Amino acid sequence: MRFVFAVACGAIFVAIQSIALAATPVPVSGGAATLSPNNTKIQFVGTHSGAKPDPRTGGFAKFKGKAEIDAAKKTLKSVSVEIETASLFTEIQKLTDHLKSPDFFEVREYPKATFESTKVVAGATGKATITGKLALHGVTKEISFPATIEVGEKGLTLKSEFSIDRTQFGMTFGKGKVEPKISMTVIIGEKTTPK
Amino acid sequence: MPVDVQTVLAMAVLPLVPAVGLAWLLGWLVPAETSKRYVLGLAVAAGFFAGYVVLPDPALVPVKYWHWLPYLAAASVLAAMTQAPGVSWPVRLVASGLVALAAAWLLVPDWEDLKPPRHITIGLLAAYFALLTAAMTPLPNRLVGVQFLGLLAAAAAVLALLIALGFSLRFGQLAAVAAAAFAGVWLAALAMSNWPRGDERHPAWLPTAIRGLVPVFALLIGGLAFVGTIDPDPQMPVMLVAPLAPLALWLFAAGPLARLQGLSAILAQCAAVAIPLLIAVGVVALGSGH
Repeated sequence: MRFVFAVACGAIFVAIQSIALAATPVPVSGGAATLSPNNTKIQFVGTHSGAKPDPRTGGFAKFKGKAEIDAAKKTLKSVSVEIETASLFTEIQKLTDHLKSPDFFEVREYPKATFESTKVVAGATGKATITGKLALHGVTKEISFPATIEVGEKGLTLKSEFSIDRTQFGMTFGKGKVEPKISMTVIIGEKTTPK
Repeated sequence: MPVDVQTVLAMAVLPLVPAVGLAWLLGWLVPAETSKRYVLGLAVAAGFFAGYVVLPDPALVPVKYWHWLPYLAAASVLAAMTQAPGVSWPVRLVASGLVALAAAWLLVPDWEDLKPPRHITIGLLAAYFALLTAAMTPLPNRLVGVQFLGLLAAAAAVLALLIALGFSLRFGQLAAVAAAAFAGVWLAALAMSNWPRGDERHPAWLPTAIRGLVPVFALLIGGLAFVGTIDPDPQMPVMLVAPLAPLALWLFAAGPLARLQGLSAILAQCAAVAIPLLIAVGVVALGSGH
């Protein structure tokens, strides 16, 4: 009896986890999926330097983009996104205001951030490495990051976790107080929920 | 929050030392009475520039709108020319208006979504600069002592606090640099004013020099207040109060309060300037500065 209960609990846990991780495929039309906060999430996590990192999570509530698909090979051909930096949000209003200020994103001076892929190299099943130009805070740099991609009947899903160095994009304020490394998570197939 | 050595140097030591040194040295060396009016303004501009270049990522060639601030501070020293004896008030008015307009034209950014639109903002900012200059220039002649300089430095320091509290530590540091430069000329003027009246080094020219400093205060501190107003989203017009606060000293230029003497005059003048500054700090601290 105890064994059955444990198995049932385990099954429920796995089911909940699957629901939590599952992305809803974004429909592909004319070889491309249109990306928006309704179907895509762009999230970042910054940490303080020192003994108490206090990670802070944020995201963007307004952006638009496009992911082109090779329907025959069921692979991603390219992806591009344009973000309205002033739509930045976090759980703490003061932090949101500070991140928008000239200390970090400087959203009045740089209202847009863009990413445009230049190369997508397919790897093992469902895996790929995306390379492209990230324009952020007035600096354009090439970045590469791994992604898990699925192109199916219902559309496209993508999940990628990587990090960028904010100081390489001219966000040098807070040296010694805020870590230069920012963890990024991009999920195509999950809605953005502004805090 | 730890503060690094570079920031302390930029915010306090570097602006203050050249400001004190130049004000004292030029006040002593510059012989002609007519040239003295540039002494304090030049000292503040030099002090601000020294601190600005040590701040993280200084831009010597202006790229963003606020990069013009150190150059505006230097250029506004020349505005003291309008204070020369014999210059008629219409010429003075036109010259001050042109300086204010040119400064506003450089300082107002060309953002597409700027509200009000750029040409209107230029007009409003020029009017703000002109108001500060015109209303503040007669004060040094009507108030005894150098506490006027101390109150200008205090208004600048409070602006730095408002900006740092309100939205940006980086811009707060920039305003702190300006405040340190004003504190520098205040300290120099305090030291010089202690020379006995019979001594040839006694700075009888100090009110003239303080009047010459007013355009620098209007453009530099007024400009910083403008930056602190328009850069946050939503805008924070409460920042514009800080440079206006010394105008409360008009209460002591005429009327019953003008009869106050000595320590009671100094305390009352400090209190009059402090009240609007404290209200502004309260508004920003409570988060309703937008």
